[in-house]
Amino acid sequence: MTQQQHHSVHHHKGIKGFEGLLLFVGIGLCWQVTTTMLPLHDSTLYPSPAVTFKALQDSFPELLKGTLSSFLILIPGYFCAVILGAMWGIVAGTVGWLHRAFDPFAKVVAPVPPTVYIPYAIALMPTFRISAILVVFIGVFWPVFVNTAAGAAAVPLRYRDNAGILGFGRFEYMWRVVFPAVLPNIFAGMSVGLALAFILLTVAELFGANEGLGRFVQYYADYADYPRMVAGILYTGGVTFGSMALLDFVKRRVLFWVR
Amino acid sequence: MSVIKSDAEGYSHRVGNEGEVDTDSSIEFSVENLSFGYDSSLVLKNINLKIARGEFIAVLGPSGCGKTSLLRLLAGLETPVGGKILHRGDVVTGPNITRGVVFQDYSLFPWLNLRDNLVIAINKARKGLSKAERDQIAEEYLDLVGLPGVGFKHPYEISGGMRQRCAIARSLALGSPVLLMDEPFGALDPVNRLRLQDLLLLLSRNNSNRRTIVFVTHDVEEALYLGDRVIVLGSNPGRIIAEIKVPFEGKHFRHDLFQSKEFRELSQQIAALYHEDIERQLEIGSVVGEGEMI
Repeated sequence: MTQQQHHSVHHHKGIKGFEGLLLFVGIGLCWQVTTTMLPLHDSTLYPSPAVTFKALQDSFPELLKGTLSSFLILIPGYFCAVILGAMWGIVAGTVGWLHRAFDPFAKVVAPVPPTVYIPYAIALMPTFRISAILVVFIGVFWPVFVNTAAGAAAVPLRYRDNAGILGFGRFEYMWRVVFPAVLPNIFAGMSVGLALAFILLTVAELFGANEGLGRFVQYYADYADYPRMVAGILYTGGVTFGSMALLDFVKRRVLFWVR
Repeated sequence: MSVIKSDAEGYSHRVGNEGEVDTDSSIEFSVENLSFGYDSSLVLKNINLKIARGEFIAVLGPSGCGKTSLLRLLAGLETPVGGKILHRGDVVTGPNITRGVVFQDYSLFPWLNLRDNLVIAINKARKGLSKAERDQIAEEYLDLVGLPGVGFKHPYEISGGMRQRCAIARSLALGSPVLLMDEPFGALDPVNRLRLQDLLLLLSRNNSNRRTIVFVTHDVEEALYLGDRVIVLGSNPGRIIAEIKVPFEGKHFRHDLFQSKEFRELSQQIAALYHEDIERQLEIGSVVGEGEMI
């Protein structure tokens, strides 16, 4: 009886997983069919899966090196922005006059697309890496700050009541109550910020990098080596997906209590 | 029967065994001409009340009569618009750990397990304990309220009754001489409700150093069973319509008590007061309704 139930549950799960793969398989098949069976199969602009995966395999060491270079920009920019955005968001969201002072400013500055800062940042900073870190920082800071400050300004009354009863001072209130209470907001900002960080990173690398994922794609496009270019796009997609999945995993572990 | 109807101003000053409690050192709360509300509409009007140390006060009233507001004012979570509250002679201006509160169902932080929810309170009550000592004390409090060995669980993993037990444990761990409870068993099923009433009586009476408890409820029998004195609030604006000294001292065997003639008469009497107020509200409502029709 239980055995059977278990079996049916697994069966059901299997079907659901299968559904998720449908589009991948369908698009892959389309790709295969259109490149091998239609007359455009020898076009260099549209490499077949086999050619692309060969290119991916060949340039794997170079891609790994590019990933390292890109992450040396992404990680410092991203985590500095998350830490400062969350801290400042908690303070600005909790202290009334700071909130009133920062809210209008954030409303004006946060929506500016951070890509417009790239040329100036490159001109302003001594190295490309520092300018790219700065751009990623700006891009991630605002979504984290805005989300956190909004959450901190609207901490549920029940948490404030309990903090009062327990005799928390202002700092203790921020650290022990506001910070955990706004963790869902911080993670929401982090998700938006991470997607944005990858966009900013690759765009910045198109402008002026010597290595990195965006640079890889740009470089082989310049030399019309489209199999490698497509391989670079697929690889970058994979790295982005992997990073988002990792963030999602961490988020679920940290926010276990959110129902 | 000591049902005391107060006058039109809602003014009533009688406390427990009169004469014994009128010296300052025996008074926990002194509420003087207290009013509370928003803009033009008053939630509470001219409340006068003295609460003795160690007394168990049940505040009874229909929903919307301001009994929760009264409790929040006593806790310092709200600011009065008129009058004042003195706690042991000092004006209440904000919440602090001398007045523990148990809310209906949100006293615990959901991101902390039960032990850590208590450890926060223990940290406030006693400084300089090691982590092991604090955990040990937390487990002892959980034991005391009938939650042995579940300190590692989180609030979302346990039932509403268990959460309220833990909330009571937290208030005890805080060491507050005053315990303010806002319909703490209102969201529980009948069996857990009775169990927790008994637990509360046990914890509040079997103690040489009795805590002062203010317990808000809309259940007449709960108020009579638990309270030394019952304050009945009427609504619109909230005011004290009666104070009843509960005459069943030391007679807390639920079954015998509930069967007794005295208990039934008293609860009927209070229910009648209650209904008078509700009917008055309905009348006001219907007059307004007719006026609108014309």
